This record gives sequence, structure tokens and C-alpha cells, in this order.
Amino acid sequence: MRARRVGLGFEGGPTRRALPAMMASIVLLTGLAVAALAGADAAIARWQYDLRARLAVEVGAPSAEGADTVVAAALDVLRGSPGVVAAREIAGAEVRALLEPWLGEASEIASLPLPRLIDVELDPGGADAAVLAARLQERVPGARLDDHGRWLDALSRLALAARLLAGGALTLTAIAAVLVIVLTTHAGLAARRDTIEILRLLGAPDRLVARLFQRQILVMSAIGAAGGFALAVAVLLVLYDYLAPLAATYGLPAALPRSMWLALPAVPILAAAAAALACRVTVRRLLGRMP
Amino acid sequence: MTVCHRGTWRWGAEWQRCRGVVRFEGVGMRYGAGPEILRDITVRFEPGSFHFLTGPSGAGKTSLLKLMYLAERASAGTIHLFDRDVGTMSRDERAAVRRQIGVIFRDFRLLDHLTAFDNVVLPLRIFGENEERARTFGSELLRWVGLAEDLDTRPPALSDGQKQRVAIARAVITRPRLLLADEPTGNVDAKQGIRLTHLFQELNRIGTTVVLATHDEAWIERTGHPVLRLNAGRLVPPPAQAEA
Repeated sequence: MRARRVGLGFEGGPTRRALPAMMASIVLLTGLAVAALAGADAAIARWQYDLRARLAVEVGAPSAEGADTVVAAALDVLRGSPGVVAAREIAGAEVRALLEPWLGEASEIASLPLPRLIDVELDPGGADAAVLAARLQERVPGARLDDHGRWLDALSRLALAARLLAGGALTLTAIAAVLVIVLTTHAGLAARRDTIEILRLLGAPDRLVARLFQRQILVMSAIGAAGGFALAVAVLLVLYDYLAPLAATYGLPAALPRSMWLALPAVPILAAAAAALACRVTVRRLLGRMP
Repeated sequence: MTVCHRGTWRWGAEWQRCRGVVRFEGVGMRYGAGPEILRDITVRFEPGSFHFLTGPSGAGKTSLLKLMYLAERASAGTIHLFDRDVGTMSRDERAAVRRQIGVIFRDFRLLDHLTAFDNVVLPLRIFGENEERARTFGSELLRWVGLAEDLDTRPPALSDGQKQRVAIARAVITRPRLLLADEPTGNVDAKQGIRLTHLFQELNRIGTTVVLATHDEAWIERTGHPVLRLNAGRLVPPPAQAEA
């Protein structure tokens, strides 16, 4: 209230336009970086879950009759093992359909000696692939378990790299954001050194001058930050709209991750708070140089 | 007025007389590492007194006023304002002292982004004064200094004389205990000058201590108030004391 009555000269000035615009851009970029980090994290977690939750058992037998027996024995062992939610044989037609994009027409694939496959659904928390493999090896010698270990290792490395990249990008964006906020606030206040000095000479205590400026900067920053936040949400929703149809194909999460929705609102709040804090420190420093 | 010289006024009744709204004892001042602008200033202004401060350009009048309104710090000696040593005051205490001082700056120091009215009521708003009262006082004062038509005009659109009147209205709106003015009539015509003199005298009559820095010897003679003369940063003793 008093800030508006006293009037600090930001109205119509460059800071009035530059600070909200700059805040909006920073919040938008940081918000997208947060979303990228959360999105990459969720997608990788989902892939890892899928890989850990599914196993394939390959049954290679010399004859079709022999294979039937081995498959049945393997299914028995699997269904009786702890942590196995479901086990079913993948039909030959399904296997052929899977191979068709790689090997050509179905009629040609039919002549190939295809392995029999069992799809195993696991409870990722309750199953131990190594124990299951050993058990299968012991009781059904013709069955071989593929625990996707190679893929899981690669995915773990990819997850780490993606996290580092997204985390690095977010850190750099945040550092740049803080620097830009500090410099813009500093420039805006340096241009008002006269105002600060006159207020002081008229008897305003340091804390009042700092509070008046801090409130103005906070209001301008909050307006910009809110705009940037709205823009970031809009961009993410549009992106999600484009990506949603691909989610099932590429095993992506069906919804935008909850961690992102929790982290995203913190971005404008932290950015506006950083601007207010930078303002307070700058004004106090300017005042400290005055007798 | 008593110009108290160091070494002659520290004892008994003399000391008591040397207490006041403003009390300088052996004060020196320099800007940074530059030469001393003021040297060995010892002076006291009693409550409710009216003084002129004069001297040639560069004598140190503005610097002396700056020390009084706490815009600068002394490099030597001690300064008491309202019987308190400013050297030992906290920043908040210095701000509180500034609120009791009205200053008319030579360069006006108006805020260009505010209207004449908002400039005048700025001290009241800083002090958290009721807005209605601020509006009443501000309008009255601006009318009194002849700027009733310029309430909403911003300083860049005002002449120097008008700016000076806005600065005067701002300095007196809080009815300060101490009014300091640096060439307050330098940019106004004779008629306005007389009106402003009446304003300063009226404030003085109700208890404000007034110190006016001016080159205008005719004005000084006309009012008959005591004069403090500065030359090359030193106080020139009045003829009677100089002879003694």
C-alpha cells in the first residue's frame, strides 16, 4: 500500500517491462527443463519397470512333441514360482507377426524352425530373475530364460546419462536465471539510486526503503513468473497432446509425471523469491554506502 | 546566536548555553581523501532560533548543511543534533533524526516520476501519515506557494522557480523541528521571495529552528536575523567576538 503511495518510479520505465518479460522467459525455460528431467525420469522408470516385470522363456526342443512337453513343464515351474503373476505361451502366429518386419512374408517364416516362447509377467518387487532362471534350468533343461539383463544394463546407463544431462541443463538454467534476475534487479535499482537517496534524506529508515523496493520487484517478478508458468503449462499440455498417441507404442507414461506437477509450481515461486532477495540485498548494499 | 569557539566554552554556564538543536564542536569535513572543506567548526543553534549562513562560493555552506541533515559524516570533531551525538547513532536513529529536519536542497532533489503534489506529500507518506490529511496539507501548501494549478505537473515540466517552491513545500509539510535551506530564494522572483520569507518566519514563530544559506546580503539585512559567516571552510567570528 505504502509502496504504491510513495511511488518508486518503476511505472512505465524499462524495468517495469523488462523484469516481467525476463522472469516469464526464465520460468518458461526452467519449467521446461524441470519437465524434461521429470519426463525422462518417468519414461526410464517405466521402461525399467516393464523390463523387470516381464521375462521371456525360450524353449528349444528337437521335435514338436518334445517341445510341447518342455513348454508344459516350464509353464508348470513358472506358475508355481514365487513372484510370477502370469505365464503364457506366445502363439506361433504371434511370434511370426513379431518377426515379420525383420524377416519378410509370413509364408517364408513358417518354414523356419521357430523357438517356442513363454511370456512371463512378474511382480517386480517379489520376483528374483536369477533364482527363477536357476530353478528352470534345474527342472526343465530345454528352457532358457531371458531376463533382459543386457537391456536393463543399457537402460540403467541411459537413465543415468539422461538424468545427468537433464539435471545439468536444469542447474545451468537455474544459475543463469539467478544471475539474470540479480543483474536486472541491480540495474533497475542502480537507475533509482537518486530515489533511494532522496527517500533516505526525507527520513525513511533503511528497512522501509528496502521493503518498498522489494515489494515492487516482487510484484513485477510475480506477474512475469505467473505468465511464464502459464506458458510452460500450455506448452507441456500441447506437447503431451502430440506425444500421447505414441505413449503406448514407445512404452511412455500415459500421463505427465506427478513429480513434474509437484516441482513445476516451485519454479515461479523460487524465481520471484530470488528476485525479491536480490533486490533486498542490492538496496541494503546501496544504502550501506550512504552515510 | 552564540558562536562557540573551542577552548572557550566548555565550562559552567557557557557550556549550558552551548547546548542546542544543532551543536558542532571542532568539526572538520572532507570528501574522501580530498582536502578539508570545513575546519574546526564550533557552533550552536538554539531551539527556535533563526540564522543565516553566508559566505562566498566554495566557502563550505552546502557542506555544513549536509552535515546537519546527515548526508555526510564529519571527518573530525563531534556533532550533536537535538542533544544527541550523531556519531554514536544507529542508522535507524539517524533516520529518525532526519524525519525532524526539513531540507530545501539547492538542486531541489525532486523525484521526476512523481507529480508536484506527490513530491510534496512524500515525507508524510513515508511517515505513514493518514492519506486524507496528507491530501489536505499538500493541496493547501501547494496553493500557498502559488502552484495550485500545477498539482499534477511533474518536475521536468516545471520552471526552476516552481521546482524550488515544490521543494520548499515538501520541506515544511511535516512542520520540522529544524529547517535547513540552501539558497531557498535563488530561483524565485521578489514577490515570491517575500512570501517565502514570511513562511520561514511563521515556521520559526511556532518553534522551528531555521538555518538559511544564502548569498543575498540584502535579504539578510532586511530580516535582521543573526548571521554565520563562512570563509574557506572556517567560521568567521562576529565582529564583537573577533575584537574580544
